[in-house]
Amino acid sequence: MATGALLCLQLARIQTLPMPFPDIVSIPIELLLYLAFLAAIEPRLKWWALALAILGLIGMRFAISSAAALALQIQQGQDLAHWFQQLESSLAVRGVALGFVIVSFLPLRGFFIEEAADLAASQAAAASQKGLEEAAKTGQAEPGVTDQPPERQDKLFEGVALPGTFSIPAQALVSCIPPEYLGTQAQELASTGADVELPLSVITAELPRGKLEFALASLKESLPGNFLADAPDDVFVDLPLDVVVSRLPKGAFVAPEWPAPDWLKLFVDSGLALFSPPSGT
Amino acid sequence: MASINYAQKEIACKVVYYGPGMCGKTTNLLHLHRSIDAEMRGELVALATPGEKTLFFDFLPVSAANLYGFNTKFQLYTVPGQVTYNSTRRLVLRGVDGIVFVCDSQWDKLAENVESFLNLMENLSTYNHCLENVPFVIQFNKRDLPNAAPVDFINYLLKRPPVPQFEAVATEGRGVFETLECVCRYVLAGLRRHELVTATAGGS
Repeated sequence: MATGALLCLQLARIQTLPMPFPDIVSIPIELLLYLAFLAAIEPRLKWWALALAILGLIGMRFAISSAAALALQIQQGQDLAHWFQQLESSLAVRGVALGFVIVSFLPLRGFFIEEAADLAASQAAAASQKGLEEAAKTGQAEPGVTDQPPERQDKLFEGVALPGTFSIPAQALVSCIPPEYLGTQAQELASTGADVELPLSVITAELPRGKLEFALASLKESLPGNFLADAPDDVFVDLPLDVVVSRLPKGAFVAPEWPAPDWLKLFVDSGLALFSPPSGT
Repeated sequence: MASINYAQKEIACKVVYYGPGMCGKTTNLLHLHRSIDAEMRGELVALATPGEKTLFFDFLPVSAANLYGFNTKFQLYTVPGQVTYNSTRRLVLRGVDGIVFVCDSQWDKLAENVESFLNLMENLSTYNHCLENVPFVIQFNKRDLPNAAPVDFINYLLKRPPVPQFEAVATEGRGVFETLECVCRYVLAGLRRHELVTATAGGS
């Protein structure tokens, strides 16, 4: 819509207004104004969309002025070779002007984008204000709108694959496995106070859930050969979370990034006493 | 979103204490109710909900902010923590303005914390809310128990939400007021932002 409006403006200007400066000066100024205008009224435009809009405007302007010049040449019965010379000259001027625009726009781009972000923020504030006013009119609470799809919330709780191993005291394992499923090596390792190495990948999926519950069958491959006498699918054990966590490398606790919520950026008046708590609390 | 009572010129903000069963939500509320000046707060009401009781009381802060010419009042709710009473929890979350997520710090309760936290997000999503747009703080309760897990690990389980966090022993009142004060400040800050936008819009 903005591009259309600018095109109309441009056509009107070509038709009605005189050119006070040569193209080499007027075109860069004009295009910079377009950029500012486009960035202000369409804040979410990407830089390449702006560039396309500018190129479109240049092309349109060039086509209109060339067509007008050609028509004038034909009407006056003049030699068209002269017109082609003018065309070449005009192309060179426009090329140089475009170069100026690109070079001068680069340092200003941040300014345009920042302005656009401010505008978007004020639009969002106005929208939420409208919601509050509507709630005030009806006198009851209305739910807000979230831009947070539920899928992303689920992803926050996916396990992170971890390479390497960790050690756990054999005694801790023996104490959580029913005795009838323990093999000969289990008691030997436990009595000597030895550790058992387990791959970190074993606990990857369960650790983020705060509970290390496994079917004995799933542990069998990770434990030493004779540690388990039997490992049925339907017998489950809870590994001692406190022992396992104390043996894990710090890198095991890397959580996916959770972006800071908007409300946390609000100004909070820490000097305001909301209530007077009793002394001693 | 805060509810507005035109007759009494009050804006009521709803703060919900959420968390797994037996994590200390009720203890928090009881301590607050005992401690807040009786003239500033209402009666403690046990709402007729199934399962664990849902407690409620409201209070008017000492320095009650005056917004739009209205006094602000806070309504504090607990939810039944047991897994089976999800419909009640969802109902209590309706129109929530701020949330205190109370964690049970004990090792054997960590899985319940995670489950409850996921449940909170799920229930909020039914009202088109999420933790990114509702002020919430985390309280690590029962820090005095010998089997309390490190705060850093509980934080890892909750995926380290970048929000204010408090260690507490609700039975002794430790950390209880700090938690409430923090969540109330953010709720008020949100209301003030709306007021500023209104003032700006009205002036222009």
